Amino acid sequence: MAFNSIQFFIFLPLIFLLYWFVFNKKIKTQNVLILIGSYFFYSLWDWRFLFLILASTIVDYFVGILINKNNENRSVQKKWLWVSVIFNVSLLGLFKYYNFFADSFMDMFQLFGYTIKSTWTLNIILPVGISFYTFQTMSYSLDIYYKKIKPTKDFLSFATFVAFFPQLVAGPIERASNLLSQITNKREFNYNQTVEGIKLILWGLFKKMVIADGVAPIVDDIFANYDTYPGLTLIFGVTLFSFQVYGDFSGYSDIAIGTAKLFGIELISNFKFPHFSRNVAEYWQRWHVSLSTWFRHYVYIPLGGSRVSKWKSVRNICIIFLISGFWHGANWTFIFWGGFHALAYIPVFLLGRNTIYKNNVVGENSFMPSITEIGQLLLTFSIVTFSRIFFRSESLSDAFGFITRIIQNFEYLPYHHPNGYRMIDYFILLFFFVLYEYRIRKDERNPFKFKSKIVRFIIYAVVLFTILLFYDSGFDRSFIYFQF
Amino acid sequence: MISLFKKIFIYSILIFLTLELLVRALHLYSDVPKWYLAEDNIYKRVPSQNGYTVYGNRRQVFSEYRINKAGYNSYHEFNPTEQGFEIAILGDSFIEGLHQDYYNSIGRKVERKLANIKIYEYGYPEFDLADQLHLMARNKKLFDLVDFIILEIKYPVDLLRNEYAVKDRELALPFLRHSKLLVYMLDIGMIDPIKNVLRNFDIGQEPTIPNRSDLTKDSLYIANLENLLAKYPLDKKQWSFLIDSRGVNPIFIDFLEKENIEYIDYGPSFKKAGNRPTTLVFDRHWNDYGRTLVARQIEKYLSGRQIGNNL
Repeated sequence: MAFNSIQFFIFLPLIFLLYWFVFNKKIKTQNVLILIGSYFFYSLWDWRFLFLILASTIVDYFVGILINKNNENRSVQKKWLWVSVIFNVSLLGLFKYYNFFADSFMDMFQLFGYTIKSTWTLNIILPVGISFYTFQTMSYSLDIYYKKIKPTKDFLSFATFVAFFPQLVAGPIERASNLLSQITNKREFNYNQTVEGIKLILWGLFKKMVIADGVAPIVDDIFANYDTYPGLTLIFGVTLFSFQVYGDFSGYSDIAIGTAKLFGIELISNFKFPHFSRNVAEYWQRWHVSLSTWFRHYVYIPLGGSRVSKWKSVRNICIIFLISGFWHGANWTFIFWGGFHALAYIPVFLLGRNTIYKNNVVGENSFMPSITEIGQLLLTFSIVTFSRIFFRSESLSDAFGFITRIIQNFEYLPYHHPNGYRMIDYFILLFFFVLYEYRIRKDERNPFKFKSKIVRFIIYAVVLFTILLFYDSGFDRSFIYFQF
Repeated sequence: MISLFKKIFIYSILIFLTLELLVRALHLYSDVPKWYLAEDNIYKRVPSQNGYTVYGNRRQVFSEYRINKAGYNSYHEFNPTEQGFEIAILGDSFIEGLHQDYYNSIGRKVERKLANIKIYEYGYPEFDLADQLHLMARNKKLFDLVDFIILEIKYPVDLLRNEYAVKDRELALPFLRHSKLLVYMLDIGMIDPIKNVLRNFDIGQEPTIPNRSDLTKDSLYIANLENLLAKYPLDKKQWSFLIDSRGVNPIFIDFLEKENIEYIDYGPSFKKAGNRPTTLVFDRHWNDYGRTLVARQIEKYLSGRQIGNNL
């Protein structure tokens, strides 16, 4: 069930009413409802994969208890931790990466003149959200191992923590210290929190249905036929893709956070206006925050982080970005994408500018950004957008073909979409979208923060009206990050 | 909690009214010409209506229509005479052309190229061969005055029936049509997911075409065609089909040739158009270029038969 489907708009109010009116007496009954609802939510994709979620839940539930039980013996604890890591990584390996490794292995042999029959590959589909919930369950065992939390003995709460439907299939990847503690505690209905949730859902839907789905047909056309378009059209296409992927994923995250609020639960922020970043390091503090945080806590810091020598830190950065790229998909394009970001990040790190923008936003104390800041924003956006060529291309040869075409055919020709979409509509839309996002850039959890009720009402009406203007029933509207 | 529901209710009403106002002010919705059941047992457009149709969102296609006294979208009144040279094109929504300005229809494009002829376009949505032949039979006097007839059919959808029965044109949920916002949402497909959910519960499910085991589907369509032509005989010199041969089973073309039935085929010219779009955004109807291609084929055919004079 996707957040932008009619089923969800029947499911959500129904479960909301049951949650606060029927099952509101005890936390346990509320958790039972959420768990059943979450499994139902997931089963509409493919009920068979519920067993994977259940397996991951059971393994980490017991691993958590066993790590805690062997408090005196660090090496036994480590062994149990490895059970969790190996189990979850094996799930990912089998369902997400097996065919990639098998294909790469066969390709490598072909380079040396040997041919291996392709019977090695498996005909398996990728279970939706597997990269997200396996990371979440692993983080639970890791946090217990690092003594940041105590394990829960309440299996129901733990299962609810793993399968909590707003963030089950595409994050934010939650840590037990935040989400599980809320699930085990009593939730009270909070009017303001609910209203904030509804607003976030509206804003998320806008980003998904208008920004992401609006430009999607243009991006699809340009990437599918890149060898027929001139360079500037390709730049236009990849720029629109930057907006598409941002609208799609941050829209999803907003709906997830908003939906969780309706049930009295606060999820962590996943996007903090990443396209207003002044360097690549700031970008990664603002883009897919829950994943970056996960890698920082569980990979980068255990490797020594930045407290080791410069060169070891650089090595750690490379490892993080390559793994992060590979996490996104079993394709060399994602590994290149990660590698490119590592290359863009390292100079910022070596110049000691990787944390200077951590606690402020562009134009912090002014209405408009300074000329320098505008330059920084454009440069960062260009770097990130360039990397998106790898992210969006089907294969490495397509990605390099795309880049070569930009260089060799660097010319302008008016772009006409085969369906005849009016391009001016999209320019106006994106122009006002960027202006509006700049206006609200200080608080990603409150997109309609205006004192005047009338102004707020006008904004709601404009947002809904724009959804009406850009709604396109003619193509698949699933979320991009579901494939990861 | 109560105040939340109250607020949601009030906001919903206010937002609905605001959006309704915006949709009306910007004329994003389609005016749909009304229907009535005429004396010849055919649902026709109520005569003498004017309005605008909108296809797609953001008014990407916006066109004016004019329903004449006969109930068809045209800048002509349909008054054929013995002296004049009139051609009737009967067909579906592609011929009705609500997606184009009524003064720039396919017929008008042909008229601009050929002198001394008038083209009457009898088009209604899903107006299949049975509808077309029934209309001609029930209005024989009028069609006897018409000098040449072109029957536009889409194979096989216009050959699914072998006899005429009146098609209900009443709108589903007509009360919804009072809200222009809902009309707009229906038109852009925003209500489709709800319709699909209802369809899953078997509400308003479309009837399926009966499958006869003794005939292949294509031979059934040909049999329907034969039946209809036998029931409503036409002088072969006085009419022609207008078809798109792309994707048509060759047995249909073979049948036409065997029976010496003439046809105007616009398929090859669409094929030649290559990547250039011939249909509208968000809609499968022909755009201006598609209509020009069809008009050219008709003009070519008529010129070949010495009908009208080239300008």
